Amino acid sequence: MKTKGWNKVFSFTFVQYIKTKSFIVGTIIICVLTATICVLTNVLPNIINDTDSSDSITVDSDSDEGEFLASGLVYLFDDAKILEKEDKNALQTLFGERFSEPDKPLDEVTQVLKTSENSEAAVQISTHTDKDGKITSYEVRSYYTQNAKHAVDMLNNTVTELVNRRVMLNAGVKPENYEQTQINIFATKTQAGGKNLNSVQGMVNYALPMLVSIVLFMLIFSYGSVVAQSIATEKTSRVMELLLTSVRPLAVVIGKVLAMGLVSFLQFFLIILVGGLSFTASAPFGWIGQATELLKNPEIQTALSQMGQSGSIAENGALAGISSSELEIAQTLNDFTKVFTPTNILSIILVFILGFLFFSLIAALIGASVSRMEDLQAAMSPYSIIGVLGMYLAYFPVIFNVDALANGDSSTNPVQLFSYFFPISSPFALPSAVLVGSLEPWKIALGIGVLAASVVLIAIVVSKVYEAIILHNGNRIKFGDIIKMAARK
Amino acid sequence: MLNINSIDSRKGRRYYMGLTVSNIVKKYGDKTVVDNLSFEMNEPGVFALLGTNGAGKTTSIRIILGMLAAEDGEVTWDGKKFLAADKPIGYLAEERGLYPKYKIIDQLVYFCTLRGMNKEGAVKALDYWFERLNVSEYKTKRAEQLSKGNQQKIQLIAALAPNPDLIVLDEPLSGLDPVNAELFKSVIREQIKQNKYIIMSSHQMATIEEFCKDIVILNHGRTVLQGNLNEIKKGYGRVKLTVKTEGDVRSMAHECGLIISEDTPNGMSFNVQSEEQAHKLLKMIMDNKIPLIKYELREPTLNEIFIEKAGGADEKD
Repeated sequence: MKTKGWNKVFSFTFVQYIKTKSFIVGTIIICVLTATICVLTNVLPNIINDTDSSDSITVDSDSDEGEFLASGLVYLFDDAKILEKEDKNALQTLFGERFSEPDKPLDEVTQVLKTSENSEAAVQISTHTDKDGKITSYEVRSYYTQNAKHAVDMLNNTVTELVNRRVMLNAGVKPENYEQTQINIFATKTQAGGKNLNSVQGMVNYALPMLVSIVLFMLIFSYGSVVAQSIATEKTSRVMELLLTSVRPLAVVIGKVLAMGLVSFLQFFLIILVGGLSFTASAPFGWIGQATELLKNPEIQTALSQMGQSGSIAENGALAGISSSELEIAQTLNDFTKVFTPTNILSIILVFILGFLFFSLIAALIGASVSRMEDLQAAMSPYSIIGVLGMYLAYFPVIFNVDALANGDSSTNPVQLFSYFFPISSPFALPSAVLVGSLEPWKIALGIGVLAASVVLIAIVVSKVYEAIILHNGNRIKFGDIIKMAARK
Repeated sequence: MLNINSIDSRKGRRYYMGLTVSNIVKKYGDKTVVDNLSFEMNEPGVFALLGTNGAGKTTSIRIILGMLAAEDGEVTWDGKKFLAADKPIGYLAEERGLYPKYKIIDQLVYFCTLRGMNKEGAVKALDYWFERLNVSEYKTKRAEQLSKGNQQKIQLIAALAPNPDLIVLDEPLSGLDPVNAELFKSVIREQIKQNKYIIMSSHQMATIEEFCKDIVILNHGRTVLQGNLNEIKKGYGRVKLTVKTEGDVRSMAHECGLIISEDTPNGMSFNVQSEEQAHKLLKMIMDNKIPLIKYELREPTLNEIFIEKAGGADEKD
């Protein structure tokens, strides 16, 4: 039997590999990175929001802006003559005696600023007009010293807001109504028949495929390379000759590929476990914790159950007594927990296993084709091209298709659709399609079927040519020669 | 006398107890690297597979061990098709192979379990061999930390620990110092006493002569000489004469029709056509009262036969 003894190769390869320093150190680094990313992803939005809330017109003496405002001079050149005394008083209040409207021309002031070592700036307000002299736009331009570069945006924003306010007031808006005009308006679109996703769900829809495709690429591709390296090492160190007195070459390949597959799967599982634990541990300090708390609220559960049935997000949010953005996060988290059905988890595991087999069998053939370790890198070029191309096919359509993904209609993108069925890209693309639910079940099944058929095809090629090439010594057998050899057999 | 156990009536081939290699042929493209190799090992002992570099020895060994498939011919053990994976065999390859980064004990246990031993049995057998070859202190070291000679000992342990019936030793003594070479020889002698079937390939003809009863000499894949070593030598007769004297005997040798084949400080060597030539030279030396230090009329050594057969065939090619 050609595969007798594969289990002994499997257990030895697995045990020896997980005992290596490179695996232990690499796994620790990956786990630490995963935990860090997960904690930051959870906590950072809250920290940024806290910072944003203090980014008002009030002076923060601890920040760069505070330093700028506390020590530097601020010159105003209102060439547009738009600001009125009230506005300048606001600036005066903000900057104190350091604020002035100099008599000197702007050129002279900028020359002074050029050599100044203080944190200073000059702001010029100018207009653009049409041929009839009608103002078409205002421009707020700041000239700043080297030390003020981190704070000048705040100055620009403050003056821009003052100009905007004055334009509105001049147009007849009452001061008490001005704040009401400062509401963000987001324009969104949904293809007819597509999913009506909220903004957070849309973001998850395109961020998740990017992240998943990269993580899967790293695991599947890199461990495939380890298979090639391991087989090449055995061949070039002549251990293979010793092994082949006891087992057939195919048993060595199967044992090795499955062992490295288990190592890869173990690391994949560890990443998910560490990620999940990190999110859970940091939940009380970040938006996940807040969203989880929201989910416990029965009124919000009622609002979530009504989503898509009646009322807008704002209406349902108001019903639950929370903001619409909070309800969106709660809705996203609520929907995401429903993704992990047994069928979906099995599909992802199956794709992972098949993808690993596909790439590692190719890598095993390449590893067997070299007689010297120095040749391995050159021999691995076709493998690298196939792997990177597959990852790009899975990754780049996401970038070019962010709008569509944000609206849940990814399957209409032809390149992305192709990536689900093409065996070099489907291992990196299908799992995320399962996670975001952007692909119909029959298409997922078809993608898995095509991948499985490709694995069988590669396995047949391996079984036909592996025995012939593993004991070949001398010049490297090129990838094309291997294919020709398989075709002849 | 060969011990015939069965006859395959369809192919008309005879099978013997032990190892039978029948008409194996191996080609790489248009080149035939093993051409109709046949031999039998019908009783325990050491069989020599000899040849120049590139003669097809390693390919033949790989076919016998089932690593390579032959275009034609077959290898049987006790009359049944020989499958190396089904039977524990010991193989010491010419180009030594160990995992450089793994502990010696781990990889030896692995090799033993691949050959059907359980872990406990493997550890017990390995402990014996570590002691026997004086390498107990290295069993928890990595292979890359060992000297070449000690790595060779570890490889021999890998070959012998599963207690195989068939052992293939490809250049077993190359690179060993005299002390370790003697240690290896003593181990080989033990294996012979234990009725093991050993195929030995080596360029050290003295070692082959020391151990082997039967030989095959290959040249460019073809068998150029085969048979029992003693009978082969007898077939040549006493055709090598070595003489060392205190005087010059060249003219006397010339007078006897002898042509010098080698002239060294240890004496002159001649290829003799008949023993009478040698006797005539001895008589002339004695008659002329030339002090004689050494006079040896002998059969050719294996080394001389090898050079004649393999080198001669090479020249023809």
